[in-house]
Amino acid sequence: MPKKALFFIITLALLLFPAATLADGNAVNSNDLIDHAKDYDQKTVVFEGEVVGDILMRQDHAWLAVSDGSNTIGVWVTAQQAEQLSFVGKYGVRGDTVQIEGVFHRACAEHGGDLDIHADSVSVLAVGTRVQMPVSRLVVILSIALPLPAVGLLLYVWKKRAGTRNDAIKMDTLPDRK
Amino acid sequence: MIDRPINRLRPICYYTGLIILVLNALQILPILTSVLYGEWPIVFAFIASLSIAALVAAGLMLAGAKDRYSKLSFGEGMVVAAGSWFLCMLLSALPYYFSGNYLSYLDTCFDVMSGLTTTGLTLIQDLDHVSNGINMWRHLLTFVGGQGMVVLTLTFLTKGQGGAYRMYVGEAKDEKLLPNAISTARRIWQISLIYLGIGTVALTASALVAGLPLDRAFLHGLWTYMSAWSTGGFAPMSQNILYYHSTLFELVTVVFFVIGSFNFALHHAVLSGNTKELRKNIETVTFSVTLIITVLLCTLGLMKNNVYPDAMAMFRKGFYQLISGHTTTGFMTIYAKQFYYEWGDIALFALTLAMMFGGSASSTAGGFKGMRTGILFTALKSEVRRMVLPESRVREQKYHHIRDIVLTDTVVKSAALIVILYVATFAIGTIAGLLAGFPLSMAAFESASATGNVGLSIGVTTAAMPAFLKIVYIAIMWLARLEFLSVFALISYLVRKAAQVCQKKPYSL
Repeated sequence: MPKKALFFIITLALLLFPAATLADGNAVNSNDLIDHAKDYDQKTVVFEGEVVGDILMRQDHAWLAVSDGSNTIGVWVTAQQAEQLSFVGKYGVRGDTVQIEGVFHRACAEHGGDLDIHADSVSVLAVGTRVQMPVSRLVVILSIALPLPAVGLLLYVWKKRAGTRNDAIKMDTLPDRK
Repeated sequence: MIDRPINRLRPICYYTGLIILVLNALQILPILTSVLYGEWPIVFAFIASLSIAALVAAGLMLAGAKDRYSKLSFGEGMVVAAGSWFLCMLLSALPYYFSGNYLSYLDTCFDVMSGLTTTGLTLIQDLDHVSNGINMWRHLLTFVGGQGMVVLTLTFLTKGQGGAYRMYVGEAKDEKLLPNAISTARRIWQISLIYLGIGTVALTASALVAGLPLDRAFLHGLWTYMSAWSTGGFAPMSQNILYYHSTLFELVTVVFFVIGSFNFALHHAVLSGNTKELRKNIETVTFSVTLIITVLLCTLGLMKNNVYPDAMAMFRKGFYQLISGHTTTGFMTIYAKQFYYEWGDIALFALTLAMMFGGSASSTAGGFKGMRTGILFTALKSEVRRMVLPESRVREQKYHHIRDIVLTDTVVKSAALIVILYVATFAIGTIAGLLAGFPLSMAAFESASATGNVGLSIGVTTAAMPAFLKIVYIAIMWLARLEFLSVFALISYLVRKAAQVCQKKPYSL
């Protein structure tokens, strides 16, 4: 294949990259959505990630916060679509992993200029779960070993303070007594 | 006035230890929060951190207990203020480090300094899964940092303790609301706690309307208030204020961060019944003028680039980021990269300018401060008048701050000096950003944000940025928050002590 033709094909592929990722149903990542928001604006996209935080109910709709690990994107869903969710991610909980197909807005006119996705469909790819949070052995040892010496030293300082205060009063060196 | 040089280590140690102890004692609150939510690994992290901080604080207090009643000089007061801010950064970072939410200890120090200086830039990982205990600590640090940790410590001292006012000045606050520094510190906390009640209720109600369950609404309301009042910019979710998708929530935050950016002397005057001060004060007048100019410029830039579809979107995105930047809060309702990719040069310039102007002096805000901008503008006006009017018609120039004050050369010189230092620091931060490989607009924007203790980000501040840039930003936030002089006093003190050690000159504690 001539080099010029190859160059033309590659350039065309790069220019059409956003549309191509949409057309074949591949999920787009949040960095791409934010960095190339103008290219994706008003187009149907597929976005995957974990539902985190809260489901913010708004009458017959709701806001989901969906994180793909890089950024969290607001997704506008119907109350029915929100009902299928079991877990939202927070400390000690991994939220449901969902696939959203919907229209991306760089600056949504309906929602005061928010960058968001209005979902056409929401499917749960993996149900969330509770996660056992790791505890560092060193931290546990420190938290058991140190409080007593710390309290002891503070009490000693407190006693010493009282001593120096009495000395200061005896010597009449307290500024407010002058 | 003849003052002693900075040469006594003992009282410096004592007061530094006391400040560390008072600040870190607040870890009790996140411990209780974590216990309530069953976050046991975080409970262990806080107990270990609190114990280490208490040991260091007690050690310092023990070293200086003998001289605790001797009066600090102005220089020593400044060394205590700057030194305690630095040590508090190192010690208050321990819960972050033990929690595992950061990639390195440097990142935890960055976030503590950012919180204490009410900047709001953050390097935390996976914020959406962070525990309630750590979130409580993040917001407490920013709340205390806004008022000042020296101010907090002074509230626990008894009257007549030597050098209280000197430490208070060292923390870049010079307003005496009441006759002595300790009463003034207590008044500052009274004002903040009055608004804490009102703000938490208002923001909890707004969060409930936005759809959060009651307990989460309360925590988010409390934290957002702490951040707004302190013009901090931290939020419990990675989307910052955009997370709530709520005009009401955004409006309530605007009310509290604007109020938070006002001078405590102005609050004291208004709460004492002098409401006229609100429209006569040089800082509110300056703030109104600079806000109008920067909003117009920003709107022009956004309209030119056709960034938002309608006036409502323009208001909720353009005006919100602008006023958040001007008050040095740093709350955001857009993504960091959107500034760079969508806003265009004019709007970015307006926002950078607003961040540099900042809020009021003796407030929780950063930047040049309205007082200095107002003084420099009044001085300029006075000079022009002097040039064009006959000498007989030139009168003494005054400005209004609580009372009418004569504009003297000393006042103008002092304001100009600090503004020059801010600009120089901004330039250093910008050069550091350029050296790290960022384009000029990004480097300048992020530097203005760090220098003004703002917290808006254009995408430079991430855990992946070079370590030297993190250190430069930490230094900038620290210098800018303490308005340079305390940090210079600390550096001068350390250099003198090091010289003494090198020359093997004997020196005593």
